[in-house]
Amino acid sequence: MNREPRSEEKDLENVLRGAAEPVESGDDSRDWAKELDNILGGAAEAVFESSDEEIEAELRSYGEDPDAVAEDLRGVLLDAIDRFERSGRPVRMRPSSRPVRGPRLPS
Amino acid sequence: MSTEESAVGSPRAAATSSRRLTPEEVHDLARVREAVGELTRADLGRLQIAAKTLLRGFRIDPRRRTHRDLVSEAVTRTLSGERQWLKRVDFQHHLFRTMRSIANLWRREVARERAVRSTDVKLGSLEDHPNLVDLRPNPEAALIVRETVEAIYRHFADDEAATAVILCMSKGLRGPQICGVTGLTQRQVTTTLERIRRYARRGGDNE
Repeated sequence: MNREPRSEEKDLENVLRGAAEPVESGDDSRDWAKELDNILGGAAEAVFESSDEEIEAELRSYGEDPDAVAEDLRGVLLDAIDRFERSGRPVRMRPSSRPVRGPRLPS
Repeated sequence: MSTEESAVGSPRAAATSSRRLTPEEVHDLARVREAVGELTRADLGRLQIAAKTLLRGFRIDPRRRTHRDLVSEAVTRTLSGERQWLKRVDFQHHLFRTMRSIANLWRREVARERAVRSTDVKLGSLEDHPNLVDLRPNPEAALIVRETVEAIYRHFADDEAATAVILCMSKGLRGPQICGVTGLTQRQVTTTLERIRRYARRGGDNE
């Protein structure tokens, strides 16, 4: 007896069909930049689901020392703040301090 | 804090700063410094791994930007107000979202520049024509991005589970959704994501 595919199976079919067909047909409508962002951004974002231990193990597996990585990156962050401060550019972290752009609409 | 004191955000920075900061600016700079100070070793490790993953394909970047440049640019855009740090978002997630947006922009930029270089327009260096990359239609740029995506699929072509995960991700699905659609366990999905990050590191940073 044929059963109706579950919705997850239909989803996967759609996902697979949606990704595979344009590659074969040369369809230019596929948004490759969006796909690349989804893949790399998704893989990168997944680090926030990993435990501290898993992150440190992953760093070690790349041959990196978690202490050295932390010290290096903290330095990069603090240097960036110092450099911005030295540049004399205005700090505009508050919505109200943002410049108004474009012409005003007539009242 | 008095106005006199508020002229100084950081002693190092103040040594060459040419402008007196408002109390609000001093407060905001201190807020960001404090947030950086509160990042743990693992938080910073996450940010480094994420930054390197986001830079997949950047060995082709003529400016040779690294994950440090990406992190640094995220701070600059936060302080300048180009990216607003919302109160409900913690600092490391804010940095991540900002880095992702910048990496996306850089990737498109690099693809456009490479495409222009490859068309042999004989117009001299790109620096002489700053608007060229934005004005020219270039299907070559899309092709370069497409080749990067296809290279990822090719790399994992022999692994059915990994291919399914990548397909799902390319459509914007995330962890639990991928498990639901593919039938893979969370552990399998997590392992695949780690493999993608490992692959991205090999072809990513300019270091």
